[in-house]
Amino acid sequence: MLNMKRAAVVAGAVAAGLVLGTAPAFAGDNYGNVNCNQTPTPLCDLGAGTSGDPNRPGGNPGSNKPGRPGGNDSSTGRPSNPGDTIVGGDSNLASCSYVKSDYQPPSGGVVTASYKPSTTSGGVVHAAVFRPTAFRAQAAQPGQGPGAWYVWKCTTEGVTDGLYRPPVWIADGQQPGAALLPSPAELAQMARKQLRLPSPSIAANPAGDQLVNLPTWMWLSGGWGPVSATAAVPGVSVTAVATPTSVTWAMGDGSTVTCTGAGTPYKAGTDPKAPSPDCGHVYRRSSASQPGQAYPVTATVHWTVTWSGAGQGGTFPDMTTTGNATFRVAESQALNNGGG
Amino acid sequence: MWREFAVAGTTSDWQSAALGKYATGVALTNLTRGLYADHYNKLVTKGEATHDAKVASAEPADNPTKIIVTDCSDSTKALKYRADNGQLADDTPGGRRLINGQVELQGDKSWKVTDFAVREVGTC
Repeated sequence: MLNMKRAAVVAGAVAAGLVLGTAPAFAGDNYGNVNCNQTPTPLCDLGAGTSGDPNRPGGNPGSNKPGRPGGNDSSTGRPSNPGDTIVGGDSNLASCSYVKSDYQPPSGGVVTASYKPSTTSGGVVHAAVFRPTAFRAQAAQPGQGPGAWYVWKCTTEGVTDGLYRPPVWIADGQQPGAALLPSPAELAQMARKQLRLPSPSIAANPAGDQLVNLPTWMWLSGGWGPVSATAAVPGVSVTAVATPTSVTWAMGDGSTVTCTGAGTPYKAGTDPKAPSPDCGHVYRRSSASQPGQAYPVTATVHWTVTWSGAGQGGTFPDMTTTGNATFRVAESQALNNGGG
Repeated sequence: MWREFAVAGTTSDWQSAALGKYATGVALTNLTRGLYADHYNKLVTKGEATHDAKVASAEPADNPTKIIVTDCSDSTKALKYRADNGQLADDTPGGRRLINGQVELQGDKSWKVTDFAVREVGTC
């Protein structure tokens, strides 16, 4: 698990990253930096009592708001050093780094310094600060004490979007209040997004063409096994674990086979007429009439996703991964008769 | 406001004074923050999104000082490019985005956008 000493040093950066949102940055279109993910405002919560984008199932827009700009090293009270990372020896940990910039807000502009919407976890709701007067009162800008504007970017091991996000003001010595830290459930969402599920690799016996009426063994040579990812802030670490539970094989001949495991690899010397003990199929028709003279085979792995940490836990919706292959199935009779 | 944003975006000019012509407050700050990020990332925007703005509400009804505008903007032809070689920044496409804008009467009797919310692609 996470080296705690290391965690203490870097967690400030992570916490800020979560509060600020670590949705991937895309260059994309002209709105790439001025949409509700990157520069959220109270108006983003307009309508139907939702607090964010309904198109993101399970997404928690709360963690994408600017909240309080800034990440601090909670032990020193100063912004974390730009370039801090927490990847270290542990994988799948998100990190955000900050670089001091020369950005200056325009005259007439104000900053939503203390904005934080309600969260799915029932976190702190600061409805009062949504009032325009409160915005101005809370505007955090140079001149109101030492601080600076920082651009920032987040990296997850294996996934680096590489783009800096719009600058945020970080006052020197500004402590992220406990209420602004993400809840375990929010951390769990982060961890879930960091899960990198492997694609299943399809294997079968016979290794080449299948034969009508001869048992086909199916198994996965890769892409089966638990996968975990962790997200952490000071004092809280949450791990999401995806566990494969079954494979649904669409055999291409209209049959569907569900196996509760990866399947047993065929070993040389086994009676080729013996069926697989746990994941097999018998083709009754050749694939000669199929496009490409082969059956398209799809293996869909079903994953259950759970999370735990900080004495809490829960379950996310199942996930799936898919692998494809083609099986040629020949008539053994035709072989026997030599085509005659 | 979006026209000024598009013009400033061609060079990611986050200090463009024209931005303040129709925007103020949070709206203005967020426009400049977004442009600053593009400037920092050495990206520019080419093209201009289309708009279809409609007044959704006005208050107070008899003598409005605040208007909420609903817009459906198509950003298909307003994408980010690398400033150094002119190549598309990435393969993330644009699309139709729902935009809510808040327009308020200013002390000088002008109307300015004080806040806006740009939703995900595919929201309108």
